[in-house]
Amino acid sequence: MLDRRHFLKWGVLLTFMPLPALSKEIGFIRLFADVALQGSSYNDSQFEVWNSSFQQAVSFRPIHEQEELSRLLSALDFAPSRWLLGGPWKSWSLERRSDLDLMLSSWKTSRFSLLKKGYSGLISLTQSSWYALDPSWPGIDYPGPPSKWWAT
Amino acid sequence: MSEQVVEADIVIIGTGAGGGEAAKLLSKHFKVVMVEEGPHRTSDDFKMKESTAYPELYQDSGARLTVDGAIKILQGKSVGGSTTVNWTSSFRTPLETLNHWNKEYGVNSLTQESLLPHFSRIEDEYGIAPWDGEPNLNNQLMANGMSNLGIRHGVIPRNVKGCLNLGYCGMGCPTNAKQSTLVNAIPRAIENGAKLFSQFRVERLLWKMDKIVEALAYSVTPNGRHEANKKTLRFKARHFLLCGGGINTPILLMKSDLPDPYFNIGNRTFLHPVTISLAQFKQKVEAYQGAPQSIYSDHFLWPEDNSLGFKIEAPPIHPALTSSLINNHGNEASDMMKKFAHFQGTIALGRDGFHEQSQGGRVVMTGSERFGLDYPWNDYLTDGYKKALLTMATIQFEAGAESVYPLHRFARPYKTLSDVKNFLASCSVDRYDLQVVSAHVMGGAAMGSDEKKSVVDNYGRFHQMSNLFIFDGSIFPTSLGVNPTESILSFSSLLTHQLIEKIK
Repeated sequence: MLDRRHFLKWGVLLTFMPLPALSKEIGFIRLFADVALQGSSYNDSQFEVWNSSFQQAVSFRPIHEQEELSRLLSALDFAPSRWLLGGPWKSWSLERRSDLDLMLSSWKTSRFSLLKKGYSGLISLTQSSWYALDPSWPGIDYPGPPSKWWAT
Repeated sequence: MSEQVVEADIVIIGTGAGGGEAAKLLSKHFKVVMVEEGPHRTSDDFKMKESTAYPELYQDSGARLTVDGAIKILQGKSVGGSTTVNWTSSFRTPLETLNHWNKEYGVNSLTQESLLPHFSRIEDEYGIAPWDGEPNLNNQLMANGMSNLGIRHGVIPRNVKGCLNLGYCGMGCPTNAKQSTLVNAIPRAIENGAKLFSQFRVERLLWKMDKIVEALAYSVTPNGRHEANKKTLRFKARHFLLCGGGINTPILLMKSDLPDPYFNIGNRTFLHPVTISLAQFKQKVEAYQGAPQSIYSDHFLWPEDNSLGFKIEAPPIHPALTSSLINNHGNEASDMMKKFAHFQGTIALGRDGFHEQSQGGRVVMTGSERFGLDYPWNDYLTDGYKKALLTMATIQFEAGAESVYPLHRFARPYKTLSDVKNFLASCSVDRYDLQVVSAHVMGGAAMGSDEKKSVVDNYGRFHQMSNLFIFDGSIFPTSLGVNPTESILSFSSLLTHQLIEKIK
């Protein structure tokens, strides 16, 4: 379990992480969508459409939030920091769904606000990027906006 | 990079309720220029889709965050400001609030008597009247629960003319029924000869001695980024009106290094912190359609025990926004979203700013040229939030809900009221667990008679400058206890009339 001292070290590490382009983390983002949206009508064949909605949503966030997100993804791509964050030592791959699920659940209950905040930020962007899309609507029985005003 | 000087008698920064109404009145007498950071979008652009509405019509794409990232704030951004996207609920300022301001802050220009003609005129011009249609099922179910429990409630006055009851007010009205400043005041101002510069963000007010001499603005994209080849506008005028709304107005004052000898700028910023209770009904509720808000209750707004009072209303429920608040991943979130069409939503708006434990947030610098709202979190507030959640669950079960889900990261849909009660008695009150949101930013440049405790005087004039006035929601010394649109419109009307008398 991560103690406070290690966590602070990790925080410093995170600050100096290089800022990669989000598109470089595409493998992880694909896995992330798969785990975060599990149980919805989303499936991997819709990754492209979801991802463009997600990337756009990220691009609309304030610059400092985009930087925080990039650093977080970068940390999740680097074995030692990934492990400190509650992830597996080995790289992410589609077989690591349950590891990611566990890691996310540990962020939710973490004692560290940074992880709780990270969880909220990532999850709300992921979910809203999916439910903003027309293909998600049949899965929740939402007909979409009315097309005929005169009928109301 | 091109640069242009624009001269006028009066420059108005921001075109929401405060700036739009002031522009309409001032343009009858003076050469007026309006500057707006957001894009000029109109009914043709309003497609009732969250994916396009939030990025262009809201600050930070509909999720402006407090510094800690815990509270999401809905705040408008395009021409018309929040009046373009609000849910149309329009109330007069409560007498209790005005009296409190008078007694505690020496606010003597905004009184029930002085405001009466302005409330009347605003209600007439903006079509404000109690909704005469049927409430949608989302509101009706809430009213049923309240009736069964003997909770006082009423019909919400809405600022609409010829509303088609579509339910998409939050994404911009596609039929121009909503009387925003976008369709009401600003076109009148332009008819009177006023000029509007949209997608220009004022970055700094330049001042000498006790006068603002210039407002410096740069062009921005519809999403608020600086353009690669940004244009610069230098606005010069006799008088400057700052109407950027809560958070934005204090930020511009701070960026401009205006004198603040008593450290009041940005202090006492209020949010009407909102807690949310989602009930599931057997029948479809379809809370995405129909006038989003038509029923309210002030039964719990002014409690005798000094706890956090709250106003109860119903929110429209749309997919992306709802999913962003559920704050869970995987099956837990997906199972909730599958019940989407069956949700009845109830919200409680906390009346913050009236208690020593509720002094509001502070706009603070968080980095180079970066500012944010630091909003407090304490037992007084969280006790109030929990009380509101329990009250809402009681109403929803009384209305026939099959389950109730108080918005909290570790809550589940509960089948009985006692389950909700047990959960709330023992749940974490951590700011990332208990979900609080806001749609009303107020304060941060408070009005008052004492320079040591306020930012503007009873004329809305910035204490340390002779020609800078603030006519927006940031001048409230506390929150209101009601949705703020009609108050901002009416205060702006009164203060603008005072200003015209003074400088004509």
